[in-house]
Amino acid sequence: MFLSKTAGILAVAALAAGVVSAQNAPVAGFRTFISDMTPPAIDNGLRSSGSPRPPRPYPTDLTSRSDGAPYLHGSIIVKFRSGTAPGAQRLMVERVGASTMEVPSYADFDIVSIDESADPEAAAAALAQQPDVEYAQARYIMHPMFVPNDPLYSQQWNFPAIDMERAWDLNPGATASIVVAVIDSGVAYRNAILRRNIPSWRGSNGLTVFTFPALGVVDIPFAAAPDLAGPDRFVAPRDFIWNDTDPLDLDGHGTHVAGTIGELTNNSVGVAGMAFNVRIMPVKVIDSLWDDILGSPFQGTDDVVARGVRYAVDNGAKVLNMSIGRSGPPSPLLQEALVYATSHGAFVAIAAGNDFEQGNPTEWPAAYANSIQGVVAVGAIGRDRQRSFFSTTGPYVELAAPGGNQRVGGTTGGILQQTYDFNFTDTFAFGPLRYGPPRFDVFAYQFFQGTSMATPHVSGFAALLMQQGITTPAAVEAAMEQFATDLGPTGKDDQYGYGLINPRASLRGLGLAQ
Amino acid sequence: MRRPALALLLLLLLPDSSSAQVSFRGFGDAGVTIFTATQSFKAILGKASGPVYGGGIEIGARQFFLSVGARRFQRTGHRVFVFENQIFPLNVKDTITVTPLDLTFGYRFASPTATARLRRAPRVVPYLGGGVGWYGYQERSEHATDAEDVKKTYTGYHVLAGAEVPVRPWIRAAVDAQWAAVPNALGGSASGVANLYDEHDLGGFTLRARIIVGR
Repeated sequence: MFLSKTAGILAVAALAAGVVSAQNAPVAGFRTFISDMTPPAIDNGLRSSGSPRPPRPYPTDLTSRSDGAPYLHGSIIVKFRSGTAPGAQRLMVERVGASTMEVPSYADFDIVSIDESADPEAAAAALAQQPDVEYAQARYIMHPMFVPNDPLYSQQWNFPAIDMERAWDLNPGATASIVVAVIDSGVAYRNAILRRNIPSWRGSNGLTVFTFPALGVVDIPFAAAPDLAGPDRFVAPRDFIWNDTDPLDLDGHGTHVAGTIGELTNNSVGVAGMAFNVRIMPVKVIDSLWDDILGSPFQGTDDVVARGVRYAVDNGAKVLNMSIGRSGPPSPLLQEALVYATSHGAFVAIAAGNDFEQGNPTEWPAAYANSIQGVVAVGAIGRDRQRSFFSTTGPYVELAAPGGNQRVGGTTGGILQQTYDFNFTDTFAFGPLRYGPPRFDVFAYQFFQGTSMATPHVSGFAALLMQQGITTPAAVEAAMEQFATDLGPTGKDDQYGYGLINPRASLRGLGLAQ
Repeated sequence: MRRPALALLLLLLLPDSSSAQVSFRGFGDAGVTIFTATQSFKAILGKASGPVYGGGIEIGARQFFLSVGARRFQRTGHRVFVFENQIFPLNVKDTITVTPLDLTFGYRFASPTATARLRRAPRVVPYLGGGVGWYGYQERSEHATDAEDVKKTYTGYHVLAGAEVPVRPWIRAAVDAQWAAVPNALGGSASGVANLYDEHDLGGFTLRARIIVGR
C-alpha cells in the first residue's frame, strides 16, 4: 500500500525495538488473542458528511534517506552467489563489520546484523563489492499508496467507468478456484479479541511532538468486514509483521484494497467488488502505526515484502495485489521475488506510486513491471478519466485504472469501499487528550484515492481473465494491454501506459472476423 | 463463359427447341469444407473444416447446365485470446454460420450416344463448372451487442469438378470437389483472429456427395 508521506507507516522505524530475525515458521507469543467470539461487527454505513481526517502522527526519530526512502538500522540484506561456502560468506560479512546471519523463510537471501550505529547503506555498498555477493542493500521500508482524505460517502463511479456491468455479464466475478493474495497491511478477515499492553509513545503531526500516554492492558476487538467476509472466503492467512497466521488489519488500507478486489456483490449490502467470488489470501507485510504501538517484531521492509510474495505464490495465489511501494534505490530481492511469482504462474499488479507532486521519483517494486512479463504497474485516473494528480508517471507505468482524484471530483471522486470507521481506530488522530484504545470492529464505507485503489481493479480483472481461460501471467498482461482504452498520447505513454483497462473487451477476446 | 451461357439461354428460350433436350433436376448434397482461413477457423472452432449441407436446382440443355445451390455451414466454438502463438479459448461461445448461395454454369461430358446407352450400362459422367457465389457470413457470440455480431454477405467465385452416375432411372449420385475464393471477407477488424493471422478469404475447398433427382 502506498500511504501518503505523513502516514503512520514511518512509525515503524522509530517504534521497533530492534531488528528481530525472522523464523522459518510462524510462531506464537508475540501477541495473544483471548477469544474468537466477539459481538457482531458494527456497520456504520455511508456517511453523508464528514470532516477531513487529520494526518496520522508519525515517530519523531525517523530514519530516512535524503530522497525520502526510509530504512532500518541494525541489519542489511545480502544474497551470496550460488555455491559460496559458508566460511567465505562469514569472512565477507565480517569484513564489513557485520555479524550474525539469518535465512528467513520464503527467501533466497540472508539478513545480516550490523551495528545499530552503522550506516546500513554504506555497509550494504561495501558488502556488495565483495566478490561472491550477488547483491546487498539496506532494508528499505515499504508504505501504502493511498492518500487519506475526507470520509464521505457516495456511489461507486469506478465500475461503470471501466464498463464492469457488461464485463460481469461475461464473467460474473470469477469463482472460488481463483485465489488473490492481498499483500498489504492485513485484512479484516475474522473476529478476535486481542489482549495487549499499550505503552506510552511519542509521535509528531509535523508541527508538534506529542507524548501519548500508556493505556495499560486492554482488550482490542476485531471483526471481519461484514461486506467482505463470507464462508470459505479467506485462505492461508499469513502475517509477516507479527510472524504468525493472524494477518489482522490494524490500518484499514488492506481491507479497503481487498474490498475492491472481492467485496461481496449482489448481497443487498454496501458496495461491489471486481471479482466477488474469488478467495482472498491476506498476507500482511506492511505495518501500521498500531502495529508499531503494539510492538510488532517486524516492519514492512523489502525483505519482508519479498517473503510475502514468495509465500503467496507457494500457497496457491494466482494473482498478487501489491498496493505498496517506496521510492529510493532498486531492490534486487524484490525483483527476484516478482520473477519467482510469474515463473510460478502468478500475475502481479503493483501500484505505480503517488508521488508525482513530490518530484515524481521512481517507485519500487513498480519500476520492475516493465521488464517482467506478468507484472503490471498501475497508474490512477479520476472520474474525469484524466491522470490523478498524485499518480506517478514513468516508462514502467503499463496500465491505468480508477484510483480516484478528489482534487477534481471532491470527496466522492475517490474509490468507495468498506473499511474501518477511523473514528474508532485512529484514536491518536486528535492528540493525546482524546487518545484511547482502538476498535477494529466498527466499519464504514470510505472514499480513498491512490494508485493503491487503482491496483486492485487490475488484480480483480486478472482474476476474471484467469477464470475466463487465460492462464499464464504474461498472457494476462498482454490481454489487458491489447484491449486497453488508449488515453493521453497515442500508444503507450508514461502517464497511462497502454491506457485504461477495458475488462469487457479483454474478457471477450477475439472472434473469427470480429 | 459468356458464350455457352448465351447458347444455353437461347436454347431455353426458343419455344420450339425440343423440350426433350431441356432437363430440370433437383439435388441435395452433403460434404466437408476446409476453409482457406485455416488458422482463424482452427483458433475459434478447434478445426478448420466442418460439414456443409445444402441443395438446389439445375437446368440442363444438352451437355450444359446451370445450377443454383445453397449450403450451410455452422459450428460453435469459443472466442479466444492469442499470445505468442498460444491460443487461450475464452468462456464465451462463438457461433459461425456460412451460407453460400452459388450460381454455377457447367458442362457435362456425356454425348447423346452415351446417354442413350445409359439404360443398358451405368456410366460415369464427369462434369466441370464455375460461377459466382454470395456468401452469407454470420458470427454471433454470447452477450454481444448487435454491433458486435457480424451479419454480412460477400461475393466470391468458384470452380468445381465432379462426376455423376445413375443409380435409378430418375436418381443419380454425384461426387464433386469445389474450390471457392471469397476475397476480402475476413480480417478487417482488430477484434478478429483473421486480422491477427492475416487471413482474408472466406472461401475454401469443399468435397461433397450429391443426390440428384430428375432426368
